[in-house]
Amino acid sequence: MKLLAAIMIFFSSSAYGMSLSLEMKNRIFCLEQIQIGCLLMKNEMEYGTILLSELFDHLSERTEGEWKLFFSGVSKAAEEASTDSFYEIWEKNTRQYLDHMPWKKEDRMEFIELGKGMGYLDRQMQLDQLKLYQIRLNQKIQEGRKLWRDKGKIYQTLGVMTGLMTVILLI
Amino acid sequence: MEELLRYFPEELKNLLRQLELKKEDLTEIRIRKNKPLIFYENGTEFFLKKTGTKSLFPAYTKERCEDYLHESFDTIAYGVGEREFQSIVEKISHFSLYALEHELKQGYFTIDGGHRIGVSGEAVMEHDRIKTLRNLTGLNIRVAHQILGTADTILPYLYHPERGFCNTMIVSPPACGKTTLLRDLIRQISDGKAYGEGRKVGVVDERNEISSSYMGKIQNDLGIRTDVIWGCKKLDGIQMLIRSMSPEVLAVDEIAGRKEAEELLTAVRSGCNILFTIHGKEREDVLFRKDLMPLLEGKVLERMILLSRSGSRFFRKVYDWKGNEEWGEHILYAE
Repeated sequence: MKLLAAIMIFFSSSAYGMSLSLEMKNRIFCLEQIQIGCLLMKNEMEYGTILLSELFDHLSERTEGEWKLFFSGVSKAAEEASTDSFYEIWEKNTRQYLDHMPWKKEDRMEFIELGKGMGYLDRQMQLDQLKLYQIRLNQKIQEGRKLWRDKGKIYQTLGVMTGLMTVILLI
Repeated sequence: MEELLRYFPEELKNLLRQLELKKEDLTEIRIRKNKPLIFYENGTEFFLKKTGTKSLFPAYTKERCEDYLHESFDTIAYGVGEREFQSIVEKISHFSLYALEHELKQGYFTIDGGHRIGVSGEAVMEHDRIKTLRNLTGLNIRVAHQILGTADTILPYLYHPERGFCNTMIVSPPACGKTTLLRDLIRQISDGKAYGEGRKVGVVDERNEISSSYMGKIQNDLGIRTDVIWGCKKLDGIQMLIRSMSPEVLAVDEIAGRKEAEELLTAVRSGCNILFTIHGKEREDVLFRKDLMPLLEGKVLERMILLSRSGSRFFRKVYDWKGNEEWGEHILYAE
């Protein structure tokens, strides 16, 4: 019985450490996905003269998973023009399709804020806004990577070590 | 009206619905940021009241409101707020103002249904030229009306029994319906009538007023044998159409400048008939215009349609060009 409890404590403690490390890694992956999405958006806006609804339709064709659903949802709602502003569409679809993404609350808020200028700004201002967001995003990714390199392994090791210590203490 | 109302935010849309405006009477809706919404019905100016009713504008000038009604104008008139204005801009541009950069530098763009949206705001300059407009402050929705059959009474006088369609010039002051008439003439010449077979018509539509094209779709009925080129200079358009589409009749709106007249003369000499409009009040106004000299001296014009207006009444006359110095002494038709 004692042995079983010790094994369980060891594994749960190690798993907690690993999940903390994985969370950090997944956030970086998520931010990288947004970065790719922004790059695609920027290219379409810079070189194309298509409507925003078509632009997001193109993006939905080039992406997969929740991003595909998100871009497709935005495209459809923009085409129907059922709301008074594009921001409402952006916010609603972010909450609907991207809410469970492994990002922090502040990442999500900043992403939602990105939708504020869309639909109303001229091309240059729109591109500048995207550029600014990309710079911030890039910074976050760099910081996230550094944090993961520095602390990710520590979390994993700490999880295993804490588990071992507890087991030793219990035995 | 719903096709226009869908661009307005909910509250404003409901107020406008209460007015029961008719599209055929409505000519313009003017929307300015933080200013009252003004619209024109059959040329008369009205503003929208907060109660959802309309009021004749002169009766409600700011001073009159304060002096006679003891109410401030701002409490009566419905002012379009900043947020509402932004929403209209977003919806009317299909959330894609950035995609209209090319159109915005001309000061207007066309939307679904052929309605023209005039814009004002901050001009962005590049190499001494307007690159685009940003921070828009005013919109002017010019409601499109294609009046089918408006040329019915005039058209028979534009055909010669042997030569067929005659080279025609439409002279008119602004807001007398010259583009509307031109549009219907193009349609009927293209489709053909009992007194003339359908002809291939080439339309050079520099400002997109004749065809009201939107996203590559021609919104107005211009007939089955009509080819339109829009968004380019008239000179380039005329040359391009003649080279590529071999039109039998070439239609151009608002020619101005000697070079354009010379280009039309070249078109006539290449075997095309021409149909164009020009600004002017009287027949004499155009007779001595230097920019028209190539066409007048070339003696290629056969008909002149003169449009005029007195109050809400419109007048139209068709003159015959005799081919001599006496310009259109002979009136073929008048209404």
